[in-house]
Amino acid sequence: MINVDIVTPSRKLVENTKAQDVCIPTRKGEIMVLQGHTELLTILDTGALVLHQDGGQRKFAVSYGFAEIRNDKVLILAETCEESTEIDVERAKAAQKRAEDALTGSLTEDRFKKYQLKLQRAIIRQHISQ
Amino acid sequence: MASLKDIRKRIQSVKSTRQITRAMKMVAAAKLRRSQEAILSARPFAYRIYAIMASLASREGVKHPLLEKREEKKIRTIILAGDRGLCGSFNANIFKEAHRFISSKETEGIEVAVDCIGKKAFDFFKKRRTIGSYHEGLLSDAKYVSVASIADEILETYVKAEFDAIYLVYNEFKSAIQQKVIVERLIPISLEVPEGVASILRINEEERFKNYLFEPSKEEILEMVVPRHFKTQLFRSVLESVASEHGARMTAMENATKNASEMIDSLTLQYNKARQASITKELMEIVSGVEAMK
Repeated sequence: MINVDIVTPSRKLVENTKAQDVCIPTRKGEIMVLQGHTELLTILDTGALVLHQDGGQRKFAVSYGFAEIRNDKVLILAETCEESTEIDVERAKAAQKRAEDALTGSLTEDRFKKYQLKLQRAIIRQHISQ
Repeated sequence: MASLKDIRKRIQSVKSTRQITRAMKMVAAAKLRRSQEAILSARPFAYRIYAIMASLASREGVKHPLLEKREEKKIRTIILAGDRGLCGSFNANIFKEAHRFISSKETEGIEVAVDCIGKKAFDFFKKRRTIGSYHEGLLSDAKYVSVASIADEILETYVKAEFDAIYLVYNEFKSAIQQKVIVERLIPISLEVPEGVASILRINEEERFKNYLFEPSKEEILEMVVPRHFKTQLFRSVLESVASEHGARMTAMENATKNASEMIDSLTLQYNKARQASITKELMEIVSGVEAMK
């Protein structure tokens, strides 16, 4: 078993929760953390974080941050993180539409990146809330 | 002597003022509790980010522009005050300290640019200086995202070397009745452990990261973590300032309520005396009238 903490700048989403394994989206690709994982500090990617527990699984949409793994403890420091149950699908859909509309126009590189990320986040939010 | 009617009117008006100050005190107390909770829940994230940054930055050969000191020629000062008044000397203290800080820097020949967060800060400094940027309405419900976007803009000017240092003047939250004005250098980031953090972070923090695997690389993690640290610092300061403001308002309103009660007491006394005097006067008139008819 591993212990999981998920912390954002304004709250603790998950504290000292036991899980069999955790799937973490990192910049180098998705990793699965099981008991006995090596000590690791890595950068999170925008994506879905999945916690597998005895009685099922919990899903989170995360973006920007770090994951720290040590002694069977996983600490997720994410700038934004939402659990699947609290995601507002309508809002995510609206955000997706806005981003898509913005992307059809001509944009500077910075803005293009920004909207692309927005789009990505909106799609992930919808995906995990299903 | 004021007429009975006048005194009655004054008592009424002081009473309704007291009702307002009492309500404001209650509201401030409730908001204070909420903002104290916000400070507490912002802490774990800030501490971990700090630990990662400090541990990486103290390693040899690791460098980051936000950690390197430059000679101060042009600095940017952010003044963090409140959007609203009626909170005692909360805003005035900030202005006094900010003014002192700016003048002392300017006598050293350093150019100072001023930014304001909070309507009161803007109102005060717009008459005295040119304001670089101004943010309002951020404080009533401080969100990390909105603070982070201000932080991004500040970082950009520093990276472009428009400024050599960024300072922040704000009220630190000591307790519900105590605030302390602090001038803090935000950038370049100092790696000295801030007060209070040291006791919470275990001493073997350096050791802790020794055997870690860093992905993609230490440099890239540092690149990510340093701006995050700055943002969480700014966010923390905003939360502290908001809590201080509520604390200051609560105390100020408490005092105002007390003063109003005292005033009502003395006015009531005055009223009773005046009433008694008029009764006595009337009696005298009747008695002397009766006497005259005899």
